Amino acid sequence: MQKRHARPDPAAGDFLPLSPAIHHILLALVDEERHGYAIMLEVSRLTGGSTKMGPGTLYGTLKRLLAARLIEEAEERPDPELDDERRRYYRISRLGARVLQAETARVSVLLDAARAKKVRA
Amino acid sequence: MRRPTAERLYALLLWAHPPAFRRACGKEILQLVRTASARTSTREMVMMAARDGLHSLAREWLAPIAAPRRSPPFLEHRPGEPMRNLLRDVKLAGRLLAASPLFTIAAVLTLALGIGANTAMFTLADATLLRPLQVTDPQQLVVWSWSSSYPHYQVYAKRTDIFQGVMAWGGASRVNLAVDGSAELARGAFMSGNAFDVLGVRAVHGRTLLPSDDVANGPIVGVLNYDYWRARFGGDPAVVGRTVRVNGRPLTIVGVAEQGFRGTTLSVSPSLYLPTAASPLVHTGFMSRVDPLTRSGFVWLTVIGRLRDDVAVSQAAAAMDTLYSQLQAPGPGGRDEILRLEPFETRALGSGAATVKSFITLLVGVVGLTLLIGCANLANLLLARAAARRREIGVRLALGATRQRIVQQMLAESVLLAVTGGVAGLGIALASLRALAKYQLPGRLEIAAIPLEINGASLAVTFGLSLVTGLLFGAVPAWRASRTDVLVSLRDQSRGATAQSGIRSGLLGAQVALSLVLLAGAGLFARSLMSALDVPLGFDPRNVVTASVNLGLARYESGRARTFYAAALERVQALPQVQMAAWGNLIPTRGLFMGESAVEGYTQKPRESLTVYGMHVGPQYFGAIGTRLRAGRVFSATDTAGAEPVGIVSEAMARKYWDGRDPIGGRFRMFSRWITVVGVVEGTVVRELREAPVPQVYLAFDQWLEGPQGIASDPAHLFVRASDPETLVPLLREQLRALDPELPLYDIGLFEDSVAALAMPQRMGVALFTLFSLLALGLATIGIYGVASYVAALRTREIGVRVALGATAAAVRRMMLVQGSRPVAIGIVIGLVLALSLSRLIKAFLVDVSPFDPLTFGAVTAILAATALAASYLPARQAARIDPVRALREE
Repeated sequence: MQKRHARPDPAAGDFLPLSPAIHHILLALVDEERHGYAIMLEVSRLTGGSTKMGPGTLYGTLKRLLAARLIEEAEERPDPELDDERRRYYRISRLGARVLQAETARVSVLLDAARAKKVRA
Repeated sequence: MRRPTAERLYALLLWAHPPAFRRACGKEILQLVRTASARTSTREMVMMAARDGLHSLAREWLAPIAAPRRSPPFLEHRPGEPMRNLLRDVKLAGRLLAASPLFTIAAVLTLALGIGANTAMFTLADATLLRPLQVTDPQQLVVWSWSSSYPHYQVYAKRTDIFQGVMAWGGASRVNLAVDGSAELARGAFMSGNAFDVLGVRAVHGRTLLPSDDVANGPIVGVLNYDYWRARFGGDPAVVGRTVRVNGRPLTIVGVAEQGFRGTTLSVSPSLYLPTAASPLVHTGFMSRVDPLTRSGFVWLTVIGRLRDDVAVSQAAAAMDTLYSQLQAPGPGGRDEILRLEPFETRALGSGAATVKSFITLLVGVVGLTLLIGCANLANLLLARAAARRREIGVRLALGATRQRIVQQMLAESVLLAVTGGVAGLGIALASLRALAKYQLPGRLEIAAIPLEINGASLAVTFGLSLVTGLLFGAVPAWRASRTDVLVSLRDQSRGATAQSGIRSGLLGAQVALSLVLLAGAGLFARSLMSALDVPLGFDPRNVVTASVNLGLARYESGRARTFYAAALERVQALPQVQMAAWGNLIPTRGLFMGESAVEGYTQKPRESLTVYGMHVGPQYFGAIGTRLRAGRVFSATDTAGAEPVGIVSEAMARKYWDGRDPIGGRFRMFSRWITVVGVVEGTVVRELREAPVPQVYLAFDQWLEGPQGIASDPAHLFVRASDPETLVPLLREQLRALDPELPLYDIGLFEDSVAALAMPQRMGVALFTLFSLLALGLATIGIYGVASYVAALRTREIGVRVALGATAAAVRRMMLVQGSRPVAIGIVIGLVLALSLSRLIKAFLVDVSPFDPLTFGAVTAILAATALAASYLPARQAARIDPVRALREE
């Protein structure tokens, strides 16, 4: 991918902390490309069903993530597990992966600190 | 195939999103919703749509406004950023408003009055029209249009193929309720044993009435009304199981009904609910003699049914009408009326439901109109402020502020004003509700008896109204401000503002038009009240005190009652300030008895029935209430039980049935006795003003105490004419109590007060319309003055040129006045058309005044025109004094 020199990649730390919606979506996309509904299902699965992301929130956040270049659009194709309809797939960008790493590092520091002080989940 | 609910919902929500968002993600969102709703329950999807859709709606609209021009990544998404912007706007708005306290106070006051009055009226409408009676699913309930006897009710109640249940309501009577020997008058409502079940009302303590309670001659049980339980028993749950005495009979309290339940009508609030079967045992007067449970000819029950889900009202009505016609023994004339099933809600307001409804609608309309006028006025004031801030806004735009930020900031100011007004309005609403309590709605519905409280719904209305009004009057100024041309606004102040004066004139015209509507209403009601007070009553209520007793409730038999009436009269007549005193069994203005009569020497036309109205009165009755004797004599002490029965007839009766012959010495029949006429009196109003004079008869009180039609154990009323009525009230109570300390005595007061209730709708109309139209007139005056000064300021330069070229001060003044009065004139014309077309809405409440009364409309137009002229005169005079040299130099 050609790098635009006029606007260099911002440092991953600029994005922290991540809002829950963004954090969830990046986590959902980190291992594979998914379309909107699949992201919704994956977020629900990752959080043990406690987070149900609605379509408005999902696409509003996706739009912002695209604009910030944390994710990219893949081509449209049908999902073999659903129906024949074509769907747009999304994948995480290099920047997005770095941001997720940075956030994970930030959160694990907090998590370790909490565990050291015997804070229970 | 129909689209699933969730998808339609999202399509709707998407439509409300910003177009850019819709274009970018609309298709995909709908696709996702379609996929998801195939795998999720509709309920869950709808819940999600409500939560997620509204959330994203707010976010997507706010994001661009909240975001500064160059946003670092995600800044718009940082929690709190839009909030901080909003907070900044509100703070700035607060500072700006504090800087001009006069404007702010005027605006807040206007809004508080408007919003407060609207909240109060909504609360009234809510309590009477929207959810008058606390029962379960009232929309399933229907009421028989004709009352029924007990045996007929039992036939209706068998139709479980149509109804889930059918109940009977036997009305609420005054009862003497003794708890531990201390007696007090209360209201006992009689209802069938299944009534609580049919209405879906539960007990908070103990149980409700059951069908097994409703058996003839069984032990009497009762359920307490919640409020009465709190007031009389201090909310003690141990009351369940206690035995009290009702009209001398033991009654076991089995429960307390849930809070808010007050029977099936608003016009009485019962203290106690009793089974219908207890009616002949508890009642003492007439009801104890008629055998109400077995006689199919004695009609006393309101029948209410809860429809089954699968039955339509029309179907049920047809079935019940068939049943009704079978039950009515078909006489020679056949039956004349069909039975209808009416919605339960209309029943709540009593017989005058339609009138009450239109009256409350009228009230809501009046306060709504006032709020609109207030909005127009504020929009005008804000436009003037915006005009003064054109330069500031121009500077902000030039420095890079977005128009959205400007609009948002302007709206923050108007919404802040409106919300402040709303908070103050709550206080006004509470005060108005307290003031309303002294009035009655048409049909003698005491507002004080209706539980009016500011609840969640009223608060929501207040808050909603505040926001809507804030946006309503803030939108135009904000929109104008955002269209400020940067260059023009920085270069000069006056040009480009002419379009604004157009909007302002339009708003002013609207304000004048609406004010005229209110003024016309006030005028019509005032004229109507004057005629209502002029209607001859047939008596003179001034200086008359009435006191009511019900000896039957204390189980007096007729001999003891006779002694009591005579002794009481003697004691009262001995009081120094008493001029005349007499007993009567009814009170004119609250209805007289109605019965079939016959007149000797008068041949009835075929199908003619001689319906007459009447009451039983003592010798000094006519003197006491001031009804004039036209011929013959009034009753005397010699008209006793053993003597020949005598009567007095009204002029209308004499004219109609004696028709030129002398009625004195003639005879008429009443309650199967022939009665000799000894006198003729003028007629009185029976129930309401404006009614045509009906034939009336008066029977001698002493002659009707005993016997099958005896009145000894019915309520009786003492009428006393006194030189000093105010001081008489406590004395009267004392004298009557001295005879019997446990006497069921009630309603001691000035007759004048109860007569005043006759003109209540007119009084209430005058009070409200006058209040609000004066408010509107005041606002219009401010508006007219404001616009006139604004126009004068805009045209300073032009007037300077005119004066420099030789225009006289008088000419300038005339020009300004003529131009200033154009919007007023247009407003008046529109207002007249509006008022004339609306005035028939109040026709039902007008007494002897046409809704198109030319005098009222003429006067109202004159008042408005004079006010407008006065308000624009000052600015015009100032304009005429402009010094041309200074005016031209300043530009």
